[in-house]
Amino acid sequence: MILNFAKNWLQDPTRITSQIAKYLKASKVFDVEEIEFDKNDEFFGEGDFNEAVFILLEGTVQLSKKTPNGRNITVDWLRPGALVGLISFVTGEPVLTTAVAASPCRAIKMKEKDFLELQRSRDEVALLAQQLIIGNLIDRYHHVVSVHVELESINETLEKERNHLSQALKQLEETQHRLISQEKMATLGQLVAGIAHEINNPAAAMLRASENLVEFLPDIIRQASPGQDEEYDKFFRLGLRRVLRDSEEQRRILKEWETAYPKFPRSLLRKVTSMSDEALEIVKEQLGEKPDDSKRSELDKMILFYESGYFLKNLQSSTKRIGEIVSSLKSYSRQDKGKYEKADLRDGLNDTLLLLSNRLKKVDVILNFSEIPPIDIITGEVNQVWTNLIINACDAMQDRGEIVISCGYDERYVWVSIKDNGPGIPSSVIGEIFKPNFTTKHKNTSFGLGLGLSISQQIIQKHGGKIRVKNAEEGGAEFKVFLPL
Amino acid sequence: MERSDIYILCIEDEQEVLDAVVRDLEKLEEQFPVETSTSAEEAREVIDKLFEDGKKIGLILCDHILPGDNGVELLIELHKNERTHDTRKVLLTGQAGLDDTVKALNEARLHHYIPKPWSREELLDVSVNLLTDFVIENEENLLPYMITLDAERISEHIRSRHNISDE
Repeated sequence: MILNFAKNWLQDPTRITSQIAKYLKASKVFDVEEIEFDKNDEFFGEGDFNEAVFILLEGTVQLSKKTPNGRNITVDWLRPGALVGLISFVTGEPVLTTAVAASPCRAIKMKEKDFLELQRSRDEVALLAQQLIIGNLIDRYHHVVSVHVELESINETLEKERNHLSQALKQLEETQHRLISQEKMATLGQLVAGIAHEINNPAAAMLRASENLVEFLPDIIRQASPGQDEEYDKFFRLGLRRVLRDSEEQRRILKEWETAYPKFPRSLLRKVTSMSDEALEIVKEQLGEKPDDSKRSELDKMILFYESGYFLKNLQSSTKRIGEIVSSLKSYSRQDKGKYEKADLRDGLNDTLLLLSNRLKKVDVILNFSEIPPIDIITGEVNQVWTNLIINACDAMQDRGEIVISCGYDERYVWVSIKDNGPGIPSSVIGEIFKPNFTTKHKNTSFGLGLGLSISQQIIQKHGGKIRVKNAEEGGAEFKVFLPL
Repeated sequence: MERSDIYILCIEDEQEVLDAVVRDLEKLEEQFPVETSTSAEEAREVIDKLFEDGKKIGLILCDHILPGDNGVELLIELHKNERTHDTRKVLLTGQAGLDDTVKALNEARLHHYIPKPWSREELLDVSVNLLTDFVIENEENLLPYMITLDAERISEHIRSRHNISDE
């Protein structure tokens, strides 16, 4: 019974307090007053010295405390039956919390003398008072335990949220990098398309001008040198159609002619001997055994026409190349952003290869193209994938070796395989290479973010396809891109 | 004009560019025969053959990117070779990065760096200047070079040589 007595209060605190209240009011020994509090009335403030204890009969009291940051936090709620101000009253220390009526309250205020008197009383009320005090302390203790438990679960939640946040932040950073890179590519694409357009005009004009010159020159020759025009025209056309011999053979013939015509300047002989064997025979015949100065100056003139011919030819072939590069640039960096259209993957591969031709000068590129059906793709984006894969292969081989590009299709996919004969991918990282920020390059990288393969994979997945990578049995790495039919 | 046995070697893989370089050097060719090659490998063969014939190489103009090889690497290799150590070396380039240029300067004692597109005057000036250096360093009789090369520097050098022998 004694051991359980605090239970009575815990189970029904108001019964005990109302008994005590009744006793106190009836007794003449005690000088207690019953006080009514309105909502928000203060019992006592934090830091006060408390000279009384309140037995709460009705209403709810809110206990709050100021944090070091100056914020008010609620520490506990006291219900009828509770002792308000017990701890400071017993310890004599400043009050820990501010007690405010959260609803209209009724309470008995007891001074120290009366509180001690109550406990010393020989009546049953002393036992009730003890139950009241101990019950209150147990209640507070229960509260402390539950607060600890709650704190722990809050900590757990916080920890989870923190992990979640840091993961989200990481993803955000990756996305940001990716977006920056995509934005860069898009800007570059616009820039390239603009430049291509700008170059196209002068290139077209040059091409037309050289074609016109080819047409006009024979007329000019005819009018300027009547009588000899046929001869000159012939040399002009020889130049225009110049086909170079094997260089060793060329050197041998030049040497021969240098010996045969020691008085002729080497630069003249170089040009003469770059003509076809047939033409050389004609020249030899005209010069005769011992050519005099007039023969030589005649040859000079012929060669002038010959030279004009091949420089015009050079002009044409160079301009044509500019045109090809420009049109590759244009189709490579198509500005139809985000639009799918039917395309032959081989065209994009050829454009990419032409634009990378400088990078590929030391690499043997072997094309094993089979017939493939056109499929719906965003050309610019898919070209970016080819570029990434080809540049990666060059990097892996340190720009020396062989790249085999092949393509084909089955009932579901068109595939393109890009295989190098570099060192392959170490098995320890082969699972990592499509992750963002994975890079094996440390310097001399074009972008250096390690996003190439990650972006490539993203592009291919967006097209409903997949990229597979493996080390080829004969060495080197093979990337195989599958795009749906 | 007496033809000397000092050669100019042009290494360039694009025929159109090679034609242009050779044409620009025509003025010098009366004295300095021009040889050409379209790859590093061929350049090595040409160099071997010229030395076999007892010729010298005064100047090499080399494209930056060659099939199968890098112009910078080739120039470094030629600089390390005793026979071509003194040869003046020029890198003709459409796109060298700074790294490559620095490497060429430091390791190949690259004497000049000409960005494409170049002008004929520039190419001739550089070539005349470097060939003048070469003949002053390597030739005993400088008189034949007065007309084509830098006459002022050559005559100055002839004078200083005389002064030394007078003493």
